[in-house]
Amino acid sequence: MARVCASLTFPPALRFKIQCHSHSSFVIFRVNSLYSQIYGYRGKEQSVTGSVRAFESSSAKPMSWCDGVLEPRVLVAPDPGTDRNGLGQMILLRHPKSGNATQYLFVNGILLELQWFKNLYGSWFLGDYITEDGRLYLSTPIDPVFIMLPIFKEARMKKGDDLGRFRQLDEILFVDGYPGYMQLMSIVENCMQVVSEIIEVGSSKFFRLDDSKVLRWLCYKVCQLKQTLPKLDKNYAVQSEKDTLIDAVSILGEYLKEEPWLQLLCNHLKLNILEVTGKAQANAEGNNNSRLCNELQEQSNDKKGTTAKKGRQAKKVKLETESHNIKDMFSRASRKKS
Amino acid sequence: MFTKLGGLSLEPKSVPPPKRTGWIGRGNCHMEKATIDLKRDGKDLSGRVHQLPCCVKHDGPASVSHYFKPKHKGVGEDEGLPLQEAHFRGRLLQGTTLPLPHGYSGFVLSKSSPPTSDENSHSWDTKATFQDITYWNHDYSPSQNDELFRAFHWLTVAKALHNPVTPEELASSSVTL
Repeated sequence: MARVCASLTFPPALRFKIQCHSHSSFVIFRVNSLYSQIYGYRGKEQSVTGSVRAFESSSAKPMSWCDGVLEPRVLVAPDPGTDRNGLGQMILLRHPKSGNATQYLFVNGILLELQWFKNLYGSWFLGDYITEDGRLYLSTPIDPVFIMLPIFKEARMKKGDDLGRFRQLDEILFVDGYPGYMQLMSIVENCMQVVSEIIEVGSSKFFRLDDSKVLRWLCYKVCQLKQTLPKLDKNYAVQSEKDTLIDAVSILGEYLKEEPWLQLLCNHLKLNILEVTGKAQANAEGNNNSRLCNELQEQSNDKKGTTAKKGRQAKKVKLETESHNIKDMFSRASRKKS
Repeated sequence: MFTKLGGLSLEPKSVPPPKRTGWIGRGNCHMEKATIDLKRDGKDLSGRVHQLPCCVKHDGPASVSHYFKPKHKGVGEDEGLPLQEAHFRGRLLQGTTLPLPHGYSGFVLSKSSPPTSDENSHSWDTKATFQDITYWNHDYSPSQNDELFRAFHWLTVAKALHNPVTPEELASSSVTL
């Protein structure tokens, strides 16, 4: 048995060594130059004596946990606990902001969204198993109200000043091409009470989305985020309250269509007040907004703080530049006069 | 080849976090009729899940535990993170172990296709679980500005953002912004 295993694993090991030898210089070079450029950090280089030999395959070990592993994925997810089974369904729903088809996870009556994170160069050591793709999947709960807002908004068929129609859940959740919505029936009835008006006729319930309730719910979400962000790390902690509010709203905006919900929220919070104070600032604000809008399409939540910071920095720099220009103009004017 | 600097540059606290070298995308796994089984009875890999700062062109078993031997080096220079050192291909790596936040577990999933089932249906089974991740940097010590460290901030933000709101909570809160 040992000989057979050894002979079977020899070619992969040899190929592995060749790959290491041929790729190591390239990878090391790129990593060094990349890190130097990005971080501007040049740590102390210690001389390392000896060398590390290439790895050998250990598939000869009997009954290893990684036997038969296919396309492994590294996932961090809420702990299902020992009392409940962790069996979940992947369901296809429309993303609440973009409307694109997106996979969600439905485990133990909880709806989860999936995101992944990957460094430019990275791989995994998983015990005695190597995975080339260094991607980390993060699965976090998502409030089903976000998912349901676009569906309920369409379902009420509002026209003009009319408040719209009351409708039953099985009618609302019937979305063409997306049968997954029906699987959420059990949780939707409970979670949509907070943003809907409900009429009970006999044993039937009819729902209609209520804009004022949605706004109140959004403001509650902003409050929760405003309390959480300063505790993340020192960079968030030193932010001004206004910047924290803007960060909170931009994170919330990842799950809201701009029209009507994000606009409704910004109007309520008076976040566009800069446009009223002056044309120069309005122009800067306009540029900032357009850039943020473009970047919102490409980046996800965890990057949002950085994006917002970039936008604000650009705005500040621009304002300073304009201020400098104004000073120059005054200087020239005074020289002309004298 | 690059020159070495003598000392560390002191960064003011208000400096925004450095630009990321990673990116985050939505999970478009292109799966139809997929099920996923998150269970805790697989192999426990806690303490042995390592994120390397380089690409290893290999998918499969390897004698990691024979050659990759991290050593604890007390507390690092930055923010008091526990420092570990290891070597890979003769290069010094500096790392730290991040425990997963409360309420979360790590899962190593493997795709399995039941032979009797439809080709469009897949399932993901848990092969192993873990409670911490050790990530490694090449030639700089771990800090709270590292990508993986900050990726876990999203777990905290997601809890605040997506905790369901009850009508009682909404009614009792004075929403004054």
